[in-house]
Amino acid sequence: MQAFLTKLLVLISSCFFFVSCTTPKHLLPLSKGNSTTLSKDNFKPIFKDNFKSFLFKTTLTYGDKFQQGGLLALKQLSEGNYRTVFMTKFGMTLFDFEFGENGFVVHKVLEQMDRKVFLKIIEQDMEMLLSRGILGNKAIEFEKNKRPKRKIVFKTKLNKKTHFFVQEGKYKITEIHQNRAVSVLLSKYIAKIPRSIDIQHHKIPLTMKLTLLKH
Amino acid sequence: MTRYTLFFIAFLAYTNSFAQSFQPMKDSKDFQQKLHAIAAKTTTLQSDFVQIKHLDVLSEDIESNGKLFYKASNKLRWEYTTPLEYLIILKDGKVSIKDEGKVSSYDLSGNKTFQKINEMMIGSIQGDLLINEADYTYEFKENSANYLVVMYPKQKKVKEFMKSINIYFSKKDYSVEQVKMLEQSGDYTLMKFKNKKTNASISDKTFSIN
Repeated sequence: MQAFLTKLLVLISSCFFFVSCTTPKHLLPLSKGNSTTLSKDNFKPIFKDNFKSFLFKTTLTYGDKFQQGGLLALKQLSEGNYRTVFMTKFGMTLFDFEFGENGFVVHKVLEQMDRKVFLKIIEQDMEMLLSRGILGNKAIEFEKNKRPKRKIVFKTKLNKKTHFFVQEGKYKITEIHQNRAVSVLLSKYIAKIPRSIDIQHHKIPLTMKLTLLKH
Repeated sequence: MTRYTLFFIAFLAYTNSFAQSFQPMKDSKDFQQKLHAIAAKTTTLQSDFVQIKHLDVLSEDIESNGKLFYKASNKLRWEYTTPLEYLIILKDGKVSIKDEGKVSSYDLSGNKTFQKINEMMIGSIQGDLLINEADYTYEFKENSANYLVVMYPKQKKVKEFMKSINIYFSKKDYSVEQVKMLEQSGDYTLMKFKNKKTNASISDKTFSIN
C-alpha cells in the first residue's frame, strides 16, 4: 500500500513540477480591471455563510491509476472555523483537518497520505470550497470574452497571497494558483445547495467528486 | 491497494459498547474451543449490519447499512446498501469490487496483501481470528449476556490509528453481535449485526458480482 501511494504522490509531484514551469496564459491578456468588493452579488460562494454540517459521498481519483472512495464530513465549528473528515466506506479515518483562525490544522492523516504536496492540494481545494473570508474582500474585476463565453476574473488577496478566481456562469468557479488551476463544477441544486460538486484539476488527472448525502 | 488494506482494517472494526460491565472470562480456553467448534459447523451465514461511525467532532454519528453473506469455505459477499452502494465479493481466490457501477477484479494468488485480507475476513467469520497472537494481544471478558474479546494491536503502524478491536459474542449461540474498533482519538466504528441466519441455503448466484 505504501509503495502504491508513494508512487501516486511522486506522479502528482512530478506533474506540479512541470506545470509550475508554465504560466496561466489563458488568463492573459487581462483587460483593465475595475476595483470592486466581493459580495454575494458578484461572487457566488459554494455554501451559505452558516451551515451545520454536510456529509458527502466522495471519490478521489488520479487518472486510471488510483481511486479512493469514501465519505467526507464537513462541519462548521463556528463562524470561519471548519472541520473536515474523510473516511473510507468502512469507517476508517483517512484524514481529519481543521480550517480557521489557527490556520490549517492536521488532526489526523494516514501516514501514507502525510505528504506535503498532497496536504497542500487538499488544503487549497477545501479552502476554495469554503471560500473562507472571501466575501467583503477588495478585488479587481476583469472581464474576458463576450457572452455567451463571458468569464469574470477576480484578483484578490487572501492570507497575504494573491488569488485569481474565474467565474463562468453560476455553476463553475476556477481558481488559478501560481502553478496550477482547479475548477469546481456545481450541479443538481436543491434548496440552493449543490448536490453534486466536481473538483477538477487542470493538466493533472486529479479529481474529487462529491455527492451530498446529508445536511 | 489502499482501499483493500483499509477494508481489512475496517472489517475487523465492528463494535459496540454494551453498558453492562464485564469481568475477566472464567474459562477462555473453553470459550475458544466452543467458538471454533461452532465455526467449524457453520456452512453459511447471512446478516444485515449497521455501521456507525462516531466522531467526537460531529454532533451526529454517520450510519451505513448493508448485508453480508458467507458460504464455507471461501465465499463472502459484503454489501453496503445505504447511504451509498458498494459491493465486495471474495470467491475462489479472487476479490471483485463494484463501486458506482464499475467492477474491478483481482487475483489473490499473486498478491500477499489480498491473501492476508482474505485470510482475515474468512478467519473472522470462522472464528479463527482469535488465534492471531503474532499481531494482537487478547483480553477475554464476559457478563451475563455476552462474551467480549478485546484485541490490542502489536504492530506500531496499526497502533497509530487503532487502540483496540472489541468483539462481542452472544452467550446463546456464540455468534458475533457487535464489533467496535476504537481509534486512539476516542473516535470509533461500531458494527451491529442483526437478522442473522446460520446454515440457511444461499444460492451461489449471491456471490456473483453482476
